[in-house]
Amino acid sequence: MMERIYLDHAAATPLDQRVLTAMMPYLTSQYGNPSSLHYFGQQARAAVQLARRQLAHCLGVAAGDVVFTSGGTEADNLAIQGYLRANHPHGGHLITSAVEHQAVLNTFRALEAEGYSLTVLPVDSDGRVCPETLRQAIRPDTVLISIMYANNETGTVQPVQKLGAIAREHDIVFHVDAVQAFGYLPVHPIEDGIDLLTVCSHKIYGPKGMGALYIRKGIQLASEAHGGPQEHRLRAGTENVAGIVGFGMAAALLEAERPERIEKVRMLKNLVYHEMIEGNGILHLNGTLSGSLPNIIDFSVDGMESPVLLIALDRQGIAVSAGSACEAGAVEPSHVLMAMGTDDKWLRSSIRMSFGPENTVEEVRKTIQAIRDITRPLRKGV
Amino acid sequence: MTKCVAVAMSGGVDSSVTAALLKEQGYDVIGITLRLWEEDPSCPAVENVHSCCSLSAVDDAKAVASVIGIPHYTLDYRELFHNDVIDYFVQSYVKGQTPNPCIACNKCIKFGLLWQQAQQFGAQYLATGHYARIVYNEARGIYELLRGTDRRKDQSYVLYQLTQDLLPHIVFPMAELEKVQTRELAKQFGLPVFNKPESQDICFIPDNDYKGFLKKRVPQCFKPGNFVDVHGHVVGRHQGIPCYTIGQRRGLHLGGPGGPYYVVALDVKRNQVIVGSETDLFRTEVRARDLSWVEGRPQGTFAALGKIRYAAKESPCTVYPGKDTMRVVFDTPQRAVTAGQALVLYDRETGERVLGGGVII
Repeated sequence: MMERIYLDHAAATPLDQRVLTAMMPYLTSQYGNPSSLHYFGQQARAAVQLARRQLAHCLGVAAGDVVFTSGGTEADNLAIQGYLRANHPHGGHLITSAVEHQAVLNTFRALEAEGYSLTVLPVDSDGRVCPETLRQAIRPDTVLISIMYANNETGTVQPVQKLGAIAREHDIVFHVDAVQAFGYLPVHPIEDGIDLLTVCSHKIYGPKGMGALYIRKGIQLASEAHGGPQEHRLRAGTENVAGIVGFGMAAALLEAERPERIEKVRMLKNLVYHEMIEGNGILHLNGTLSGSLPNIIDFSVDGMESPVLLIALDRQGIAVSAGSACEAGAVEPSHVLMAMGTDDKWLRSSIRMSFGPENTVEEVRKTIQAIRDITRPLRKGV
Repeated sequence: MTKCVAVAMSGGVDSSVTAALLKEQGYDVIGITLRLWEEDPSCPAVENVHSCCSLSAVDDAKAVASVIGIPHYTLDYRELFHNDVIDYFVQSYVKGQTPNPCIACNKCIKFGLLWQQAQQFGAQYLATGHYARIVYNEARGIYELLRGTDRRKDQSYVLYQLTQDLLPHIVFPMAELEKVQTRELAKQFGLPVFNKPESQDICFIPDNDYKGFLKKRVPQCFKPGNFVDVHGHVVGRHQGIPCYTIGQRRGLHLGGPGGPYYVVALDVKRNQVIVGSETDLFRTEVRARDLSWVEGRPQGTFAALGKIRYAAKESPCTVYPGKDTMRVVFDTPQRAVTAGQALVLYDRETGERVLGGGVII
């Protein structure tokens, strides 16, 4: 059996064994519905509330300000659509950036089609939104700004605090998708001036199918689905108790271990950059080395489309990602790289590696060697 | 080291069985499905039609791959397919020719970019579900491209552009199978596509309405003009040149004493459709361009069997190869020789070996 190397943590992390252990009772003996009044219900309710406190603590917010959802996408939709439906149902001006995740970008596009006015901010060649650009885009009728904390393809980190301050100055609600950033940056919405913040579980060693939205006190949202009064009446339906417990545990572990995780993955990322990309004429770093998440590195290969390198690596048991937009396995040129003004020759050949603390130096060296071997025929002409 | 083969999987029965057979034979198999064209959501027929390379075809191929136990990937070739196949298809009609898009696809897509990329990701062979055979003839020291054993399914016609540098790397596991056997094998392998209907004539026009397809893209070519008989007399009005193909009788709506009329030529310059009697359709001499030779360039004149379209019967002829074009003289007149179709040559003795071919001028 081939030893496989997993370098796609930005897509999904493994499930931490400790998280699974915490979840197991709620998949087996503790099957009560948190809304039930009896013993079983109370056990489940207590587990949900503990998980809420764990996640809230990690974010530095009050437990009552956190709503669990089915994932990052639902949390983004609840934040954006929920805020507008409750507060500005008849239209208004919205601002987002060109490098957002589809969950945000496509939600805004749908709202634009409904009649809202939309400004999509450009980014610089590193993929960053310039705070001045945001300031200039604000209009008297601007009601919502949504900019991601860090990009899922390039890892580029946005100047969130500065953007938040500008939103605050103009008294405009500021939503941040922190799905990728959460695992490797101290995400603290209150200090960062963030009103609505999306996080999710399967990027931080928790189970899939879990996300959460932080909602600053005083902000009214409209629920997406009609039904019961769960999650402060914002998310009807019986809670995914095991998933919530897992997410809470993953957040607690993250809070305790984040500094050492950061150190580990940063070392692996630097290894790839210095040993493989730097000074290599056919490889090109997308984004910046230091202004990005420590666990993501995105690069392009001159002369080899990303799916080809991805397949070649997968053949050798190495899992990486080709861009992020994925439709039935077919890869569109990345909207993130296009927004960064990336040269055509790098556009269809981007490869993202995203590390986790369980990756080893040996795995990364093997990967570097594999990429050198696969791209060797391309280098002949250089 | 096990031999690694990339299989072009359309989600249909033939390519699914191809993958399963190669896996059984011990190959290291990689399944690849190409995304070739964008479905038109406004086209209601698509839902009910099984056409290759659509999204549901990708799902079918993935389901088959998981049953067989091989990795499967999708490659996005939409841009290349649009430029090299769909544009070529449309432009041929604009020029008054009748194209064969499968031949263009085989050359540029399957045995073009796919083979190039398959080598990059480590495959030594490329396999497809075509009904044709490849045999190494030791005495002659060359690879021969032969017709498939199932004569009704034989697809060697659309493969005439394969050459000696490619043939050693191509595998056709359908070579000696009958279509019924293929379906039986699909059942035995437990492939979920065993009873899937045959694919359409033109994959990117799932509703088969090629006129509607062209009208959307080149409306300016649907300019009504005159039907003119072979003596130059106007005998009626036509709906636009792309609506007609050589040999067509139905749908002309031409009455009169000269009939029945057949389309014998398309004159794009004058926007005229030339009609005549059935005897006007027959020609013995055919010229072809963009030549390709399976066993290398021929030295001088030779006797062969020629086939002027996929459904035509091959017929004895003499070939006079020139530098860029060839002249082919048939022993008996051929009906409805059509510009844009391929003229494919087989060996005179057995009619089994593909020698090469070109595009009819």
